Amino acid sequence: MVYATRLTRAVHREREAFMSSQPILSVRNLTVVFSIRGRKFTAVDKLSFDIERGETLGIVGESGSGKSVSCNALLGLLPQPAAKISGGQAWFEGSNLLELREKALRKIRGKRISMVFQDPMTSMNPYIRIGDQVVEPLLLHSHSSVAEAKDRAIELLEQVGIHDAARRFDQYPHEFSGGMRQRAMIAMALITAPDILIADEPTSALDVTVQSQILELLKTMQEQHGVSLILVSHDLGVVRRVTDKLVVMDRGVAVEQGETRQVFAAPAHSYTQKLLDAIPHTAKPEAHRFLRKGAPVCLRAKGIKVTFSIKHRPFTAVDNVSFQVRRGEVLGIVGESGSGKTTLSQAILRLVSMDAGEVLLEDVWIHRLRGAALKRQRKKVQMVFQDPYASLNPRMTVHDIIAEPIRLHRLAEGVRAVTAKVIRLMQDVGLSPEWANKYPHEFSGGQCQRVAIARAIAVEPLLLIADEPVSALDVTIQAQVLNLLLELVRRKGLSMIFISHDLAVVRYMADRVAVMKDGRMIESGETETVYARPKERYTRELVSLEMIAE
Amino acid sequence: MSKIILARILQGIPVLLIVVTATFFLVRAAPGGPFDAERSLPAEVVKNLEKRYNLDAPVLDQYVDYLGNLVRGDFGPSFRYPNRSVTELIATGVPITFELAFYAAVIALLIGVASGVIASVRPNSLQDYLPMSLAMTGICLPAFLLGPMLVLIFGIWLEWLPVSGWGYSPGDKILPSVTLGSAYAAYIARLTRAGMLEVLLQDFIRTARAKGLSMPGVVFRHALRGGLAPVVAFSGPAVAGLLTGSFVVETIFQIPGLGRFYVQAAFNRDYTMIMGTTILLSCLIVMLNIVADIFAVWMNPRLRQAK
Repeated sequence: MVYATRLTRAVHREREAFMSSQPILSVRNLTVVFSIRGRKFTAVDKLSFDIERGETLGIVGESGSGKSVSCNALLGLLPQPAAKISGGQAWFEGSNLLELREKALRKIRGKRISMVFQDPMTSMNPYIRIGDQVVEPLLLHSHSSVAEAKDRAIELLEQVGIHDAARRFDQYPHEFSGGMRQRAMIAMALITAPDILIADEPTSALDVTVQSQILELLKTMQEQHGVSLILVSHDLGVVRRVTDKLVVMDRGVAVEQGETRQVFAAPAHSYTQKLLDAIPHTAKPEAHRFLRKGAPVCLRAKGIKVTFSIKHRPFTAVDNVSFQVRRGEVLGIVGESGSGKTTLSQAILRLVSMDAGEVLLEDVWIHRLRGAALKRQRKKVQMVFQDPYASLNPRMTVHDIIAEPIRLHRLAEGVRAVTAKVIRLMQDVGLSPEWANKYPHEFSGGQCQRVAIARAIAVEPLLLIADEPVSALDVTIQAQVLNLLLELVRRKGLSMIFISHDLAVVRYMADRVAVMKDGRMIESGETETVYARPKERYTRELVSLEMIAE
Repeated sequence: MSKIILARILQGIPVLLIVVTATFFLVRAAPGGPFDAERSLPAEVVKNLEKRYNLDAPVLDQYVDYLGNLVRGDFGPSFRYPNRSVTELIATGVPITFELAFYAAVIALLIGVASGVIASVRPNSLQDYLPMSLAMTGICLPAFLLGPMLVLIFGIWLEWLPVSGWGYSPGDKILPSVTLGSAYAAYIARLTRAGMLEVLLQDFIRTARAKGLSMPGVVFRHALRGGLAPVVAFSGPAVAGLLTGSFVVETIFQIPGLGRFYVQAAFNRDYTMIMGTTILLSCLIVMLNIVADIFAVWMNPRLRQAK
């Protein structure tokens, strides 16, 4: 009897030792092929990696690199029937996830391996109360009663930083902010005490300060609950902060993997190097700096105030903001979502109505104009928006998109003259004129943004307002578009207002920077001065977060 | 919430007033009158009749009188059935028409939602094409064709069900209900499929699957509520359509419902009867649309609190 117990104990110990030396998940040669309208392409090509218990693995890559596809493939969540796993194994506790039947896989999904997705706005069911969504995996996978599950959920929600969780349990997703929703998602993923947590771009849809809180939370939760974390991200800063190991993916292939620290210190593959270089973490290039201090003022805005009424309550979106931009200067406006940056830029163009304030463009008081006179002035200010696909008409060719404002404002007469001008503009923004008859969907995001820029400069504006122009683009493409904008500003003597939530990008672009928070401009000055010696607490917080990410 | 409901009800009043006014003047503008029969009556008799029913007064006075009575809930006497009021006559038809519409609505919802959901789970497969082509056929087949066909098959050839009547023999309610409901079942199937397809592409469906829910679990717990939104919006007009559109079915199957009174009243120029049925049905249409709107708002938590 004693012997038997001792034996089982020994066996048990040996098994434990064996298990702990084994990676919790071991992926070998995972290959995923998509067939779309008869054409096949390999989204993931022979991806292999291991993750140990309690370890954090980062998968980095640009959009289309196959990082999300690989994670979805592990849990059988690929879009059907377009995607097919054509090879490889994924060993988890002695079974190959890729060959498990749906029924067996369902017992792993949400119980042993759970996921947190990118956009907490769309990843939670808007029709179901937060609490009911959080308890759902537990009720599904265990025998706990509804009351027990609720207690556990409230406890977890408090743990992830949702105060007053008992009350908020019954609220709907739209009553939660983005960050709060992501916290709830994390609680939902952890409630079954899984072995692996896959976080697919968990912070990409969030503001900088919130991003950092969520990353911190993921890290703490991972340590507290002893789960292994797979963090998928396009953001090298994010991955560097939290991961132990790293896989760099490029077009479906893992081009480099290893200890995070090592990869960052000495990247072995040229693509990794390219990714690292792409982050503009430098001051504005000397060649593009604005030097003529005495240049005439291009735009002067004074005391701008915009209020909206939301649910019959007035809400001040922009509160008494004044600034000026000289000719040839780039003014950066930074702030988080909801800080009023975009509203401010729209108020300048009178696209939203101002409650108070004056705007002087060159020598014209814009705020007094209306009708045709206003339209003439608006032409002098052009905008470039965040989402390049959404801002181009999908049914028009690139030629027609760029030609439209030229025809509208009679900047060239006759078909030939218009086409000649379109070709010149395409060359200006680095697009081959041969592509003039293509449609927007045939272009990549970066190329679409170039088209949008060509359209904006077609009317020869004085001022360009770029509203988050690179936020939707991949890092390597971002750098190209930023440099193009700087080049155009210099060559054409433009002024620019550059709006972004990304401090690093603004630092690279702007001569002067203004920080917005809750509709007010809380700080402004020479870019390097503000970044080196921020006066306001909020600016200090933003800048310090940015430094960590680097 | 109560504010929206009140506002919607108040919006319904002018609609009804317009309907009442238009119908009132239109029926009087139509050639012929309630007492023009094949056999012409002596002028004296007609004059007496017109006096008795207040038809000799100027039209505008008649209109004001009618509105006054209407507000008091009095639809007036029927011109065709002497000594019986319109209210009494309608009351005999209403329960039957309502019952028919109710069965038809149940059939339409059950078949429509079920086949729409089945089709949406595997789009562009046999599971999708089969119910959807049936639905298309259902939309294309008018009641006056489908009804006799069903009678022929189930009533005459198979002799399973009675060919006509309502409540006289067991099972005689089945064929009329199916005939009336099938076109709506087809519409609802298509709406359900479209709504479900849209919802099933949402990110939160992937979240639900990542939780380990089975496909039925995903569909019933996470997708159905959003996917049925178009059906809910359609259900108001649909039920109204079932009520008002039942006269064809009532005629085919010899059912003594409201529809028959309506058609006969129109032929007979029974002014008060036309007015009574029109007002009743338009009230129902307005009300059912309001109910459907309120229900749609209530189903969507974002709308529920935004207002």
